[in-house]
Amino acid sequence: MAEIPSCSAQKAADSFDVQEFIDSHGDRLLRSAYLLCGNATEAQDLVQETLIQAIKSWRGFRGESAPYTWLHGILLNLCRRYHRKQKRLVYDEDVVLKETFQVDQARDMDQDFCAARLTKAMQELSREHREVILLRFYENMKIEEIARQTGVSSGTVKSRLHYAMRGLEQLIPREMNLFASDGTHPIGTP
Amino acid sequence: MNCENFNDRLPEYLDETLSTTEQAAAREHVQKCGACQQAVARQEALAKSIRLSFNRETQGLSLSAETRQNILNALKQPSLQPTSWERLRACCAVLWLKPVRVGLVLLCLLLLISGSRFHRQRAERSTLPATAQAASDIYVIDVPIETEMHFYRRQNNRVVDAVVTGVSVIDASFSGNLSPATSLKRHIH
Repeated sequence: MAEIPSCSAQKAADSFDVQEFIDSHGDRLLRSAYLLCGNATEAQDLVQETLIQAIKSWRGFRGESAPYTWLHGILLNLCRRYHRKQKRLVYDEDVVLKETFQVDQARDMDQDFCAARLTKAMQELSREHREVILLRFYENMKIEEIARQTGVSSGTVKSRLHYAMRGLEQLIPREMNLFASDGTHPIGTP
Repeated sequence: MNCENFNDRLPEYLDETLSTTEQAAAREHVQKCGACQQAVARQEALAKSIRLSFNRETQGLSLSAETRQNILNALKQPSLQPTSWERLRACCAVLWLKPVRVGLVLLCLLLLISGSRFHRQRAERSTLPATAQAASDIYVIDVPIETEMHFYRRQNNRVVDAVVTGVSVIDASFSGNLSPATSLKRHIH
């Protein structure tokens, strides 16, 4: 059993067990954060901040959505702030990515490679397109739910989804057959 | 429903969030149309493939012990956001430590109070009735005063004709602290 936090946070945490809350949502949130930012260390930091903010403002949660959806909304906001900061940093990320891909290309076209290639392609998409792909395919959200979560209309979500898929299609090698036109399962799918 | 309409509604069709009528029409169309069947199969396969790839890529990830501990430690610390009372106290403390600021604040308060008093006095003066103001300075009366005017026609220093006309003074003004009655009497006489 986790130690119950003291002071002002204790009041907010009275209604639930902090450790249980972290256990229930922490890992799933971390995976989502990793897919959004593409960096495991940053993902840990983002989830840490998300959970701290969420627990401190637990009383402000009105229960209009599932707790995880609410948490994910906080995570998205923090990721947006993180990416704005990243843009200000001056270093050549592209060189690092290209070098990694050259090494990766030597590997077999196995499932792990497909997964890694897709995750890297995600990082090359715009923030809006990355969010919509993640919410649609990883969080299994419906169009209307994505619209609520991102604060845009359903039409905008559909448009973003369409262009995000086109972006991925251009970034993923044809050999992976991810965007097979005949409806057959791509490589890496059982 | 045609292919174009169906493609527009494909995400909602897969979500099953279309209206009952539209969902039925879309289902009917896709049963007949090979191209749309293929589009549905492609979307489903793609979604499955992406989901599996994401799961595979993130399966080993879990919150580190350090992160968990950091969260608990952050919650143990008192809130970093000061309350309104704390903010006010801090503000007062800063002011008392800086006599110049205190002087400026007091000066501002003094100016504010004297300014408001002056403004109030002016406002009181301006609200006095016009008749009352006039009573102390100038009287304007509207009393017709009948009088007579005599016109004489002369020829070689002799008055040959005389005309008498009645005129009236419509209004007259008087200044000073005299009562209107006295002033009026003086002018009339």
